[in-house]
Order: sequence, then structure tokens, then C-alpha cells
Amino acid sequence: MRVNRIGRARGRALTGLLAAGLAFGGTAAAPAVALPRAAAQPAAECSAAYRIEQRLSTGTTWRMCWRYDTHAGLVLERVSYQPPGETRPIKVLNSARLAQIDVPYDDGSVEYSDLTGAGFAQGLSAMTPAECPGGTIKAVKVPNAPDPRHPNVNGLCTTTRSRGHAYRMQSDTGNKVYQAQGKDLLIYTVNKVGWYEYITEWRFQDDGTVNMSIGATGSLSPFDYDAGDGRGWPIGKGARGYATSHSHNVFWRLDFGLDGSSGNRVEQYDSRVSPPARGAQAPSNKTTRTEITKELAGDAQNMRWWRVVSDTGKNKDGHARSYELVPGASSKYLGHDFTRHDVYFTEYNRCEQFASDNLGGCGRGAGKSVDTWVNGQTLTHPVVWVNVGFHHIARDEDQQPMPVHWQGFSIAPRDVTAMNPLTPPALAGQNGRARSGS
Amino acid sequence: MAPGVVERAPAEGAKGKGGDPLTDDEIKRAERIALTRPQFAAGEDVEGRKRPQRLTVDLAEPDPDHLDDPHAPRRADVTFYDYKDDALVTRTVDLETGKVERTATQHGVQPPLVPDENAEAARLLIADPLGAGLKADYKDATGKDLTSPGQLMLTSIVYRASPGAQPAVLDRCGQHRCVRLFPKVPNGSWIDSRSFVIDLSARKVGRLS
Repeated sequence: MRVNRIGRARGRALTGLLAAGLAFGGTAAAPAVALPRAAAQPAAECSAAYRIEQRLSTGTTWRMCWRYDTHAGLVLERVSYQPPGETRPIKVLNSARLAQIDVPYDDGSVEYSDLTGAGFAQGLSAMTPAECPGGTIKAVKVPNAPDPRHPNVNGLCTTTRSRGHAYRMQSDTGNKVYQAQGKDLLIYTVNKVGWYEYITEWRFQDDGTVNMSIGATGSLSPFDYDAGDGRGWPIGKGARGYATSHSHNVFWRLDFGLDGSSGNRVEQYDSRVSPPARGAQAPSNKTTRTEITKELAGDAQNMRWWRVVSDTGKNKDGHARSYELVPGASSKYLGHDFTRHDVYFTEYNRCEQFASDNLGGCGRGAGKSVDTWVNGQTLTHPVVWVNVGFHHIARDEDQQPMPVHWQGFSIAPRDVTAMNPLTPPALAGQNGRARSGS
Repeated sequence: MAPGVVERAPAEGAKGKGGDPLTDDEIKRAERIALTRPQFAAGEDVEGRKRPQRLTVDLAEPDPDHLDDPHAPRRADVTFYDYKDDALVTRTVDLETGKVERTATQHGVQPPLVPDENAEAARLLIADPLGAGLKADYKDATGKDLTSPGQLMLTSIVYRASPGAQPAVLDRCGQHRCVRLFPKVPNGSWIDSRSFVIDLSARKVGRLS
């Protein structure tokens, strides 16, 4: 499932704002205007070779450091975002990376932990220049590379792509159309595990949204054409070549450092629709906020979402800066406690590194998967673990090579800037109650 | 659009800065600090030599109080496997002070195998009667005899025992370090060896039904 362009436009037209009427119970943003803080440390503390800095043509700059971990593969750290009009980078993440790819086969024959058991990171593949159009391919030193004589692999692509409209608005007067074509910074690697090749893609949009996805391609396992018990799909001629169905349960680990601080809180929002009240023309919808103060294993539901809110950082409207989790499509695998929930919020602990088959040493008796780390600790520095499942029932088209199938999710800024970060200067005054005459 | 430009691997200095990956010098230094002589003498590697098996050296995850500190010390997690008592040992080393800050010892935790371990697993399989199929397939593919792991490209997946899923000889896999190999003829075909599990701790090979 491809998740770019989710964008969640959410009817951001000005009339939408007037009609929204979200009741925050008086506990939301206190509209005192915060003075911009003095410029903190530079956002990218690493050598130039390990820095990715991209100013997109729409004026937004993303900055981060990268390194390559023996098991997690690509790790992006100290990630910051600076849209036009902001005088300094706004830190978003301390660190972002994969936390597991769990692959159980439907016939119960086998289950792989691709990151912590099958050498996902060791399988970094060199890219040809054509695979990174318009970009740069960086050399990555791969620990324990299968061929120790060649530890450097040309395996990290950074490039930019257009994503179509960032916005469009017809002026109230004259023929003016305000429109901008959005640009994204794209960062990806290809990791080979067995016959599968995983494209790990990070897409940083000029409007502050970040999409993270895994695309699986390569080949189906040639040794798994024996699903004789009805748990496969025939992909050879006639009723032959049954490829065994399986799941890819992918986990991401996000450590937010909003506005340069690890002190963040988590909120959950739920909206409930009720039938029309007497005299009302339409059903009504009430949104409630729940403060998540202790560790949580969360389940996606209709009209439910979460956000991570900065304890300290505010935008120019005086609203607390936050990032919202935007779920992607998921086929949740109910076979394990660690795959049973869509998101986990745990208090930061350096030894909690992988969502299952964790390798970090957390002490005698400590659990080895993320579900066991949800045990009532108060959240002061929440780490977010997102689980997105894909159930792969092969089809004839999966040969050969297998077309990329995607799974992932997004995080979108909520009140990081006081307005649309790409607002053109002519509309910069239109913050709050709409005026006519744009 | 133009094809991507391939950058040359960056020249590493002696020391990295901030969040840089560990340099080769730092990796060697971290290993030296983590493996002082008594540990060195007490351990055992995959080939049974008197030293623990080196697995990985990575930049350590920061302590909570270092997370928002741009000048946090660079630290490394040095991980090795001691085949003598089947222990995964991670030592966190401060690269500036040269001190070991903590040691975590775990049993039953099996990270992916490193190339030396894959080679040893293949060596055991080739030498075992259960390796006959692998050798026959290799000969079919190349016309040559398979006598050493260097003739194969090797990747592998850790194997853990489940109740009733394997013969008794493999029942301790998980506590023991066990593996299934995915051998490939260089520039040639894969050889299906998934039914064979090599227990590197016991130096035995078993067959899954």
C-alpha cells in the first residue's frame, strides 16, 4: 500500500475552519504568543559526509544525519524541518528507523525476524545510477558485509520528486489561481533478504509531512511452491506452483524530539457520530481528547488518531507544536501479542531496540518484544512503535520480478507552523477568521 | 531525469563526530577496551579458539540524559558471543574516557550470524553425512567437488527450536546458536539447504522432517 500523497487535506479551505467547531474542552492551546526561542544547536550534528540537507524548490529545507546500524540498517537522526518563513530549523525526530520485519508463513512452517535473525542490514544492495534518478547515491560501510573485502556498498539514494498539487485556491476576485506543486525529499535503500528485496523509503514533504514505507519486491521464495494444504495460490500453469501465503509485519520506531526536546506527551482523539438531534439537519459528530499519560498499546479505530505534542515548543499562534500519526492500510496479524496492536507508546529505554526478538540487554526477566514494555510507566519521553501488516497472497503477476507492494504510514505536522507552511506572501495575512477579497 | 551521481565513500578520520558512524579506528579501539585480556582468555569463538566470537560494534543508543545534549559522548556497543557458555555479551564503551560503562549478558538471544559463523556452519555441514545433498547439488551446478565454504556465497537465518518441530539433536537451538544456511553458487543457482540446521554450539547437524 503506497502511502505518499495521503496528505490528509481535511478540507483545509477557510470555510472549513469556520465550520469545524472542534470542542477541546477548554484544555487545548493557550493562545499566548510565545517568543521565538533563541537559535538552539545546529540541527545536524555530524560530519558533512553523514549529513543530508535538502532545500526543496518550494523553499522548505530538511536536515538530518544518517548512519547504518548492524541490524536496523538505515537510521535517520536529528531530523529537522525548516519551512519558508521560519528562521531556524524545527527539530522533529531524534531518531527514526525500522524496528522489525516479522514474516510468518500461513502454513505455520516458519517465521522469520528479518532484522534480528535474517541479516536484513547485511543485505544492503548496491544501486545502479538509474535507480536514483536526479539524485545522489552514497556509499555505506556495511558491518559484517558478506564480502568483507568490499564493505562499502553504493546503497543510499537521496533525491527529490514532485508530488503534484501542494494546494490550489481560486481568488475571490479576478482570475488569480494560487497553486503550488509540491516537492519531496526522498531517501531509500534496498536490502535483500533471501529472495525478497525490501525498499525502505523515507519521503519528506515540503509541507512537513513524512511518509515511511517498505516496498517488497525481488522474487517469491522459489522453495515455497509447495503449499499443498490450501494455504497458497497457484501461480504456475493450471493448478500448479502453489506459492505459500505469508505476512510482512513491519515495525517502525520513532523517537520524537519536537522543537529540540525529548519531553513530549501523547494524545488520543476519538470522534463519535450520533443520529441527528431533533431539529438538526444532519447527524452530529463529537470529538474527545484523551491524554495518554502512561504507556499504551493502541488499536486503530474509525475516527481515532494520536498525536505527539511538544512540552515546550509553540508555533507563532501560541499553539503547542505536534505531529499526528496518520495510519496506512494494515492487515493486522493476530498471531502474536506484539503484532496485535497498531501502535505502542513506551517510555524511552535505550535497550528497547526491536519490536520482537529484541537484541538489547534489558536485564534478567525483561521481555523481548514491544508489547511487554507497555507496563504502566509514565510517559515523559514517549517512543512510538508503529506496526503495519501486509498479508501477501501471491498472484500470477508476482512473477517475475515481483511488482513492488507497499506498506507504511505517515506523520503530519499539526500546529508546527501557524499557517500552511507554503502559504504565498499575498495570503500571509489570512490567519484565523477568514476575510474576503483574497 | 538524469541518472544518480555515485558519491565516493567518505574518507574516515580517526574519530567521528556527533552521530557519525563509528570509524574503523573507533571500532578497533572499542573492541580493545571491551575485550580486556582475562575476558579474551576465558571465551571461546565459533571455531573453538580461546577468544569470544566478535559479532558487532555499533554506535550505542544514548542514555536518556544525553538525548537532548549535542555534546553527548560517543559510545559504542560491542557485542560478542561466547560459545563456552552460550552467552551474548554487550559491553558499552565510552570512546572518550576509554571505560566500559556497563555489561549486559544474555542467554537465549541470537543475533544474525557473522560471515565467520556462516563459514563454520557450512564447514560442519560439508563434513557431515547430511551434507551429501549439498555436495551433490554443487557438483551438478559446477562440475566440481565442494570441499570448503569459500566456494559458496553464504547467507543464513537463525533457527530456534519449537516443541515437536525438530529432532532431539536440535532441541536446544535458541539456547544454542543454530542456523539454516542459504548457500548460493557464485554467479549461479541457490541450493536448498533449509531442511538442515547446524548447531554451532554443539557442532552438530540435524535434519528437519
